[in-house]
Amino acid sequence: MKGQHSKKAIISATGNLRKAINAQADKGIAPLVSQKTIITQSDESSHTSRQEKIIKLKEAVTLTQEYTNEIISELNVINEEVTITRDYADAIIQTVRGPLLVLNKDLRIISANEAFYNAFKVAPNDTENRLLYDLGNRQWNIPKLRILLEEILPEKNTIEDFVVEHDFKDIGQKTMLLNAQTLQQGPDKTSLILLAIEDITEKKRSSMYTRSLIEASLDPLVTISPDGKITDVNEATIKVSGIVRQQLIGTDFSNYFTEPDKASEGYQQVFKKGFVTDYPLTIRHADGKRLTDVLYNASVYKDDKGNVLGIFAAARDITQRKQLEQQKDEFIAIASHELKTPVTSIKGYTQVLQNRFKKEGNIKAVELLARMDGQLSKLTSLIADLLDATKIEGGKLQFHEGYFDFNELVIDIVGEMQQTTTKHTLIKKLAPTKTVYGDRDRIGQVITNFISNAIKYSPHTKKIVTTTLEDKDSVTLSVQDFGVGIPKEKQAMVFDRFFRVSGLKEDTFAGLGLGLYIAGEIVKRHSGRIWVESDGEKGSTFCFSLPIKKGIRKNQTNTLVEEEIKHE
Amino acid sequence: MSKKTIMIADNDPGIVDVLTLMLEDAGYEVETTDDGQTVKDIEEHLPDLILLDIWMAGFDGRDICKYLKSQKLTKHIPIIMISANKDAEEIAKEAGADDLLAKPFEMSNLLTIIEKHLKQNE
Repeated sequence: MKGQHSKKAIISATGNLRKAINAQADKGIAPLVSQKTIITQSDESSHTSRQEKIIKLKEAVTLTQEYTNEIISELNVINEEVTITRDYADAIIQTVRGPLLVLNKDLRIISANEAFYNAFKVAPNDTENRLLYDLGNRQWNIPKLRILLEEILPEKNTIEDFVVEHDFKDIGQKTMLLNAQTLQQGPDKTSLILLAIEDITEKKRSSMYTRSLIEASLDPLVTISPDGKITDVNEATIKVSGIVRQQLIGTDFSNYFTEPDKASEGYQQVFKKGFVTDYPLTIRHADGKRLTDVLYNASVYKDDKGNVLGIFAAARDITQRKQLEQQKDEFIAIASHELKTPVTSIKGYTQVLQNRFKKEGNIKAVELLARMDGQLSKLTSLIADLLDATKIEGGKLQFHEGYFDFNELVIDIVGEMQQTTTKHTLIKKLAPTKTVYGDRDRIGQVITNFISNAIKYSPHTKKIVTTTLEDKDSVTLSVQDFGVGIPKEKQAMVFDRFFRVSGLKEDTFAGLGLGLYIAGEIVKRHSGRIWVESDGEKGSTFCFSLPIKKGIRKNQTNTLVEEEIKHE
Repeated sequence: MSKKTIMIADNDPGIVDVLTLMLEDAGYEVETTDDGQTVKDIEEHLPDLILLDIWMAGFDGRDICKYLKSQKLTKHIPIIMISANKDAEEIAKEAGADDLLAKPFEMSNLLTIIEKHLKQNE
């Protein structure tokens, strides 16, 4: 606003100046003519007295003096106006934060701003009226700059965003972004060149720094535009896709995955939510063979006004992790398989001994062996859990489906479980239920797991209630204990692999943290639902419901053969 | 009535030994072998029932089972396969086995199954 104001003032000042000059001319010519007349007259008329001549001359002199004064004062006005104009131009130049030069057509510097002096370490005295190239001991005699100013600018009147690099003796290597404009100034249309020199050395360095950070990442990184096109990639992306940068940029991000739909769903999710974490995808290499399992972490990036510009997505290659996990699962599978044989053998010997002592009537020995057998059963079920967990991971958990009486199964298992505890009373509250379709043994495994957990996590209370309910579409079983309970924030995790509830200080609970994970998987595969209810203090209730008449989801590899591991 | 003979074909001595004890205690005559070929070659003194490990060194229990079930002389003999896994049930059925015993098994369960198949075969 202020600038516009002073501009108007200057325009009107310039107008006045012109008027002043014209007026001067009008006034100036007349007196000169009359003066000449006076002189001529004085030469020709001899009778005019000397006195008169003197008076007239004096008058003329006074008049001249007056005009001269007037001219001088007008000239002062002009000077003032010129100064105002200059000050105005200077003000503009000074207010520009980037280095700026005003050159005349001979490339001499008319003025420069503070930013220029600071950026290029030159003093005003060594700058004004100097030839640009002569600045700082001719350090500015830069060939590319000469070409720009002497060849390109005169032709086009403008230079936009030209990058010039130069190694200055005093200030070192600089990268400059040049913008220039030729202007015709004043009544005589004097050519001026406005030259803006932005020092982008730091910017370039930091962008190189950013770039090298991006390139240093072993994770494939990519930026995606809102319409799903790739806008930038790093070397890791090029490597993993087998496609060069130029051919990646501008193409659909989802093109490079085994599941393009899932990939585009992924980036749409980012635009919707602002981010995604650990989004699994598989990158397909151009050779068609190599596949890389990755987890994508991505978020949107915005301009300073908050408009979404695109997505920055980083892929973590988890191929190796998956391989390791697979190796681990295979190892556990082999280990638990190998453990089974000796345990079977020990269990067998125990039972043989039990029978023999029973015949002899050695009740004490029979009792001890029964306890030993009980411990062996625990060991057996731990091994079974390990094996089941690895099967779930490998998608090899198998089911043998059929119809079975749900309540009958519950009664069987509650009966069996009552045998394992003298502390607890297992109460049944069973509503009449229909037959259920599924794997009886596996569902039994879930119920066993619920009840054994209830026993384990309620060491100081006696009652455990098993309830069945049936509605139109499903049967529900719940096992309620009155023990330690599960805090709300941990309830969602209890069905995770390796999760274990930590009890009060005095209660530490043993276990692999696999039971509920397996139970969860079994129920899910039966298209059922599994959940826990607990207020975190007075025990917990574990529940599952199964749809009546719905088979097992065949969504996993349904290998009939669970490869028996060969004995050596 | 003479004792029934049960053949145990397994190459794990721990299993063979304990099975032998269990079966002898239960009143059976027991023959054992860890060689798949021996099982295939039985001609005389045919056992009343065979407990066959699904994997024996160098032999696939399934092949042995199929072979025995294809021979006139032996196809009537009940074969119970022993596996480390219950999921092998399908394999056992496919091979023509009469039943499957998964490790770790209970003695009582083993004896019940054996009795059942011997009775069926009478």
